[in-house]
Order: sequence, then C-alpha cells, then structure tokens
Amino acid sequence: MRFKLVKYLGLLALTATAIAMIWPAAYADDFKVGYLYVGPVDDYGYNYAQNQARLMVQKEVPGVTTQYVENVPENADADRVMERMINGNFKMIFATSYGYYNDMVRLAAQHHEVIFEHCGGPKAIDPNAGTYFSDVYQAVYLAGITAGKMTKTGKLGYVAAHPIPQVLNNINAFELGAKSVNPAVKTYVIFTGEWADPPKESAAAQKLISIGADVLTDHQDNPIPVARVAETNHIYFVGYESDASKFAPKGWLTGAIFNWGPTEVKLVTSAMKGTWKPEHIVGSISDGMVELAPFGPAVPADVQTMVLNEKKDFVAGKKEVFAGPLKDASGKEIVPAGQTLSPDKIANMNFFLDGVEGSIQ
Amino acid sequence: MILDTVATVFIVSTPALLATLGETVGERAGVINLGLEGQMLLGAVGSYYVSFSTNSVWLGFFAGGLFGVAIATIFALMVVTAGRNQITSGLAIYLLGYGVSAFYGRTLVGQKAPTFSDFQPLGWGGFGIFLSHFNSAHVIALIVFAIVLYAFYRTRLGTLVKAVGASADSVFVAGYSVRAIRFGAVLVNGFLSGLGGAALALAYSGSWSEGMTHGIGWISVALVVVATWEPLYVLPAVLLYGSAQVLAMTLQVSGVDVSPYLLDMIPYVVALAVMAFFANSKRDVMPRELKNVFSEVGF
Repeated sequence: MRFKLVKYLGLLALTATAIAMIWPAAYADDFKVGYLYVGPVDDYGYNYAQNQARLMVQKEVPGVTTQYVENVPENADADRVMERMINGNFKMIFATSYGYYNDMVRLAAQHHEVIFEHCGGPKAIDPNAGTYFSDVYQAVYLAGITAGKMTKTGKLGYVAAHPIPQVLNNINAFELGAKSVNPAVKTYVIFTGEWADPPKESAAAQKLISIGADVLTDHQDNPIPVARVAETNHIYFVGYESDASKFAPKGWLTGAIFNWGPTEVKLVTSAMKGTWKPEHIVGSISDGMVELAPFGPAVPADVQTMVLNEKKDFVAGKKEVFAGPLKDASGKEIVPAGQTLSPDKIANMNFFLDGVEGSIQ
Repeated sequence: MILDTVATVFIVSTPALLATLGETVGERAGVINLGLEGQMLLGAVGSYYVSFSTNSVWLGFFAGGLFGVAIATIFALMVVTAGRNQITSGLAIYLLGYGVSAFYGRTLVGQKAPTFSDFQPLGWGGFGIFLSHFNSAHVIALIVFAIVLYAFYRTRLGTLVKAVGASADSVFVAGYSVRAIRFGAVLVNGFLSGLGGAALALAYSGSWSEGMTHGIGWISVALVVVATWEPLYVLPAVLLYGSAQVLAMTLQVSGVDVSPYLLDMIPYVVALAVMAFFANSKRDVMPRELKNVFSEVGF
C-alpha cells in the first residue's frame, strides 16, 4: 500500500514537472493578445483584412503571442470567448465586430487587468477599453470616380448588407465620386439584409445587371459572389475591404481597402510598454488606415492619374466628400453650397443622396 | 429588360428547382426528408471541393450529386431500413450536413475553384443576350427536370413510386419491395438536392461559405406543397418563389419607400399564401402514406 502511494505521488510529481516545463515553453512571458472575428479569416473581405493586421502584429511586435477565434456570433458566444481569453491570461483583446461592443464594455468593467480594443465602437471607456475605426468613404469616393469614368450605361450597381450609417456613407460617397466626373450617373442599391449570404448577393448582382448596371460594387463581408457575377457577365467590379482582384481579373477596377495593421502594432506596443490610454481613434485615407487598392488592367492611365491626384487632395485635407450643395433622393436640400456635412450628421446618416436609387427605412 | 428579368428569375430558382424536385419524388414515395438543407450544404461543399482539387467544374458538379446520395443513404438506412421516425431523422440529417460541411469547408473559404461561366453572347439580338445570362448548369437542371418528369409519368418505375406513396400495402401485395422503392426514391432525392447545392456553389455564387444555402432547402420542402406533390408543377412553383425574390429586389432598386427587410419577406409570404389557398381546396393532394408519417402509424 505504501509502495503504491509513493508510486502515485511520484507520478503526480512527474506530471507536474512536465507541465511546468511545457507551460513556459509554450507561452514563456509572451504578451498574449486575443482576437475575435465575426466570420472566416479567409473571406477576402472584412475578416481577411482584420486577420492581416493580426499577422502584422505577430510579425512586427517582439514578445507577442496572438491567437484568434473566427466565426464568433454577435451574441453570448462573444462573451464566452472573451471570458475564456481572460481566464487564459490574455493581456489584450481585440473585439473586431460592431456587435461585440456591449459585451466588451461589460467585461472591461469587470476585468481592469485586461486591455480591450473594439473596432467600430462609438466611444472609449476608462480605464481599459479603446475603440478604433476608419472613415472609409473618401476612398470609396475615389473608387466612385473610377466607376463614373468607366461606365458606359451610366448605371452603377451596389450590393449592400444593411442600411446603417457606415454603409450609407459609402453608397452616397460612391455616387458623389461618380457624379463628379459623369453628372448623369445613377447608383442602384439592393440591400441583402445579411453581412454574408452569397446566393442572395449573386441574385442581387444579377438583378442589377438586368437593369443595365455595368459597374458593380459591394458592401458585404465577402466580395467573391458579386465579383464573380460581374466577371462572368463581362462588366466591371469595384472591391471593398480587401484586394479581391483575383476573383475578377479582367473586370477589377479598384476599391477601398482597410489597412488596420500599423494602428494595431502601435496599440499593442503601447500596451506592452504601459503607455496605452483608452482612446477613440478615427483614421482615414490621410493616415493610411484606409487605402485605395491597385488599379486593374481595364483602367486607362489618364483615369488612374486623375484619381490619384484627387487622392492627394484628400490626404492633404483639401477636399471634403460631403460638400454642398447636396440634395437627398427626394430633392430636399441637405447641405447648402459652401458648407459641408457635420461629422455628427455623417456618423448618423440615414438618407440617400440625389442620384441613388433604392429603399431605406 | 423583360427577358433579362426572366433570366434572373430562372437563375435564382435553379438550386431550389433541383431540391424541390428531389423532395417531391421522395414524398410521393411516402418519405418526407427534412434534411434537405443539410443535403444541399453537403452537395455544395462536396462539389466545390472536387472542383477545386480536380480543377474540373463538371466533375465537381456531379460529385455534388453523389455527396447528396451519400448523406441520403444514411437517411434511407435510418427511416426505410430501420423504420425510425422520419421527422427526427430528417432533422438529424440537416444538423449532420450543416456540421460536416462547415467543418470540412473551412479550408475552402476564400478559395477560387473553377466554376461555370456564362455562355458567350451570340447574334440573335436581345434573345442572344438573354441566352448569355445562362450557363451549362442551368441547361443540365432543365434536362434533369425533363428526365425526372419522363421517368415519373411515363415509366413503370414512376408508377411504382406513386403507388408506394398512395398505398404501400397494395404494392407489397403486388409482389414488389416497398423498401427498395422507397430507398431508391430517397437516394434520388439525395442526388437531386446535392446537385442543387452544387448549382448553388458552382453556377450561382461561385464560392463556398458556411451555411450558404440560407434556408433554400427549407423553402424547397414548402414548395413541394405549393406544387401539390406533382413534379410537373415544381417548375411553376419554384419560379413563383424566384419571381417573388426578384420582385423584392426590383422594388428596392425602383426606390419604393418600404423597408428592405419587409420586402425580403415576400417569397415566404407568397409561399404561405399559396399553401393557405391549397389547404382550403377540397381536392386531397397529399400522398396518403405521407399522412401516416404524421399520424405516427408508419409502415
């Protein structure tokens, strides 16, 4: 009996030693950063762009271990995943989808030892929750110029997920950009009601082609369905969120793409140094948080030059997208000449501008 | 413009056409399969995988049908061979198909597999442009539809399927194996719904994503009722659903001041309305053996 106990204790000690040896080897003193993604990281859209940033952090910040969980729904699952990260001794958590915000705020209040960053949230919360996002509509405006130059029918098609302000900013900016070079151009919008529903996105794209659109773009998590419909129908495609030119090699024009990496590298580095502060960061094309994707082979050199010149004006802060005079789709004046739309109005946009056809409510 | 809309309606309806046709054959033999959505998902992921790895869209397309057969075999073993409850078995098949496709499909997300490309525009003016909206998968779907109609209405096998659904006892007395006929009908359902999933992945959206059917399988089960269990009426029933979906989009782009979320309900409201209408009709159209499934008598 005594012998057995010794053996038993010996086995326990052995196991404990093994764990003690493996544990630091796996994690050492690394600063652990966890990421939550709402969709798959290979979607060539929103989550792809987010994951590119994580890879950059992993590569460029020494002493960091990153881990991610993809396909986390915007419900109690997000809460559970974050709890698990907190219990797993993660020091910093990036909640990268809008719907994680409330869960993050609640957990941040309970766990002051962890730093939270939320992408797209309305405001930072002391002492440990920051938010970051980027105005993307300037880049979409530039893509709109390209579309306005390339269309022959004067009809642009937009497949979008939900009629929320960020989406409406982009749709209106796209039309304004196109209209600046092609006054008669119209943008037709179909909302699919889902961030990702490939069959419906294809159907919407098909429908837009049937009414004569010859440039398509999208605001969905995954650009592939719309890109493919555009390519197989031999028309142009403007991307969004990441460079998806390989899905429409002939029809690809350009697109507004996110570049979260440099911002996240700064945030993680400051968190490790202890200089991190809860901030509400809003980037734009001028600081490179948003970029214009490379042009496709269909775009002539003079159009490229023109778009890049306009881009310089945005980067230099000399140009505003929502500058008066602007009328909404019903003809009501939104901004008089000589004025610009206030940031608050942009953030709460709930209308289509003149030239956009579609329904919102 | 009208021809273009017709083309869009048909393209939107193709996956549901194949799935509804399969489910109709199965139900006419007296087996309701609620796992249709799962079978479509497995067909979709299987077809995309095979198309991706063999670089052949045709192999992928038919492999989708075979993946459907594979999962339908499990269903047939459960309900036909072992005589288990069809409703719960069907739900299990849905969950199985969803889970397996999501798990094995992870590596396919964002991958570019060969997909069907639309026909080149020919001469013939507007009609040529109309034809250029389609691709080979749509032609195959129509051919399959014609073959199933012929087999169902014009061959002895079709008569046996109908007879098994109307009265299994009579077929048994006539010396045929009820189980063999039902097993076959379930496999046909698996093949057609798998093909429907393949059409969704390879001819329609050209990509794979988790749960990409988004309820097309479920609506197909309902469309069987709209088609009053007649394979011939599957085409109009499915086109009705397709036009309702396209109508919702047409209303959106024409600037109707109604919430897009409300407009998205149109296809489902139409399906409900048609079902409500037929529920009132005096003609009894439901296969009799199918009623037994719901009254728990079974065979």
